[in-house]
Amino acid sequence: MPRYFFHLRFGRRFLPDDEGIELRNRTAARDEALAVVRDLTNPKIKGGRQRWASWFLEVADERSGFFRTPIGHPALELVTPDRHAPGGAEPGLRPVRAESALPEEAHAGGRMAEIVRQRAALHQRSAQLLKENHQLQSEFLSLRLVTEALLVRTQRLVSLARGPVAPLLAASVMTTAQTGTLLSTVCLI
Amino acid sequence: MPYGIPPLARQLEHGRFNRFLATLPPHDFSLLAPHLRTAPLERGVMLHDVGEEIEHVYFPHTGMVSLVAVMQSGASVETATIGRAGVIGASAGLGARSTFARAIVQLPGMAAWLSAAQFHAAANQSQGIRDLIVRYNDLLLAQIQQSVACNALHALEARLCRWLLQTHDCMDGDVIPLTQEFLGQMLGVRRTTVTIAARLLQSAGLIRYRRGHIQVLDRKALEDIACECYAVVRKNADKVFSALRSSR
Repeated sequence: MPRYFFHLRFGRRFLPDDEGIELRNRTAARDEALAVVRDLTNPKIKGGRQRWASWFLEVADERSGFFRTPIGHPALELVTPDRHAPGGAEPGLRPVRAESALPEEAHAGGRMAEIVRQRAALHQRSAQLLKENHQLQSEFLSLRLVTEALLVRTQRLVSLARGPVAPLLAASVMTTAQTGTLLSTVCLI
Repeated sequence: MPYGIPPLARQLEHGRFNRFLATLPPHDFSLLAPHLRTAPLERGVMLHDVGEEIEHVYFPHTGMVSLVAVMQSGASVETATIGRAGVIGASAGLGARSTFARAIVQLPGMAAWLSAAQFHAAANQSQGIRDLIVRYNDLLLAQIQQSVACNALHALEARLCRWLLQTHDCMDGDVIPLTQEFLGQMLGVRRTTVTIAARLLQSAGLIRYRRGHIQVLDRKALEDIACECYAVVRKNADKVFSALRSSR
């Protein structure tokens, strides 16, 4: 199992953990750190949180630090103009900044932005597809209406052609004209 | 204020370095003396487990035994420490047959011991021994009460100081060797938390902490930082172990 180190920092003071403890993975190490913070800042103990104000717990593996949490509150720290905490150059522990200056974290931040961009693009695309779908649906509806109307007219024409009554033929011609208007109306929709 | 500890060798010869034995008047002690043997307490040895029959009664001269409560999950927490100011299995003298806790040697040392039956027989002949057993059991209860309250209410460094002081009292030297497992039991918090508190005390120059070994550098400062519990437990012990003598 990998070994994890729990360093303490308070302003310029740094109390390194040179012994470490073996844990399953980084998740377990982070859980351990949070449990330690709970141990140290037990709310039943008077002033526990204030006692640890501005102390930070930093977790590192053999290569680098990867997690950092304030122990008590308020959590204030000194930051020099170049945005690096002073005294953060101990061997084995790169300065770990809350606002993700770690290469891994920066990298993770870049990937996050990329994912967000991709998601926005997908959103836009699906909205467009929905609109097209709606349009196609209404066109389909018009066509169906036209088809049904034509069917009715055809049936009527057929029945007229079979029947012997002449005046009705004229009517049938008229209805054919009406079908034309209906068609054009539908197309306008 | 450390104990006024007489030279260890001389005390061991007389078998009276343990405070329980040292408190007994000569007549009462003479009932036990023929049966007492001295044996080393080896670290990690379990003197008795929960629910076991009490076979032997131990009177540590040096070293430290801790009483540990064990949960079904296997997790365990120290509930009391017994050093030269205590007895393991004292209730056997009053006829108790089984124990309610696990007793493990945490720091090696020497102890006088005799069988539970012999202790019971001696206590039956001596009001003094019976009195002292009752007083000692009260003392143990008081110590456990104090540590329950302390673990719930006092800051971790103060608790660690208290614990270091009471352990230092059981030791010959200044270096307290602690197993990894024990670091996680002794204060009711996880090991990582205990080592953090130890590093804080080290940065203040009170102790030196190195891979499970704690060396006491500044006992006076530890006494200043420790919560009141250390003094309370010490005072209780002094009361119990002096009362019998003055009453005779």
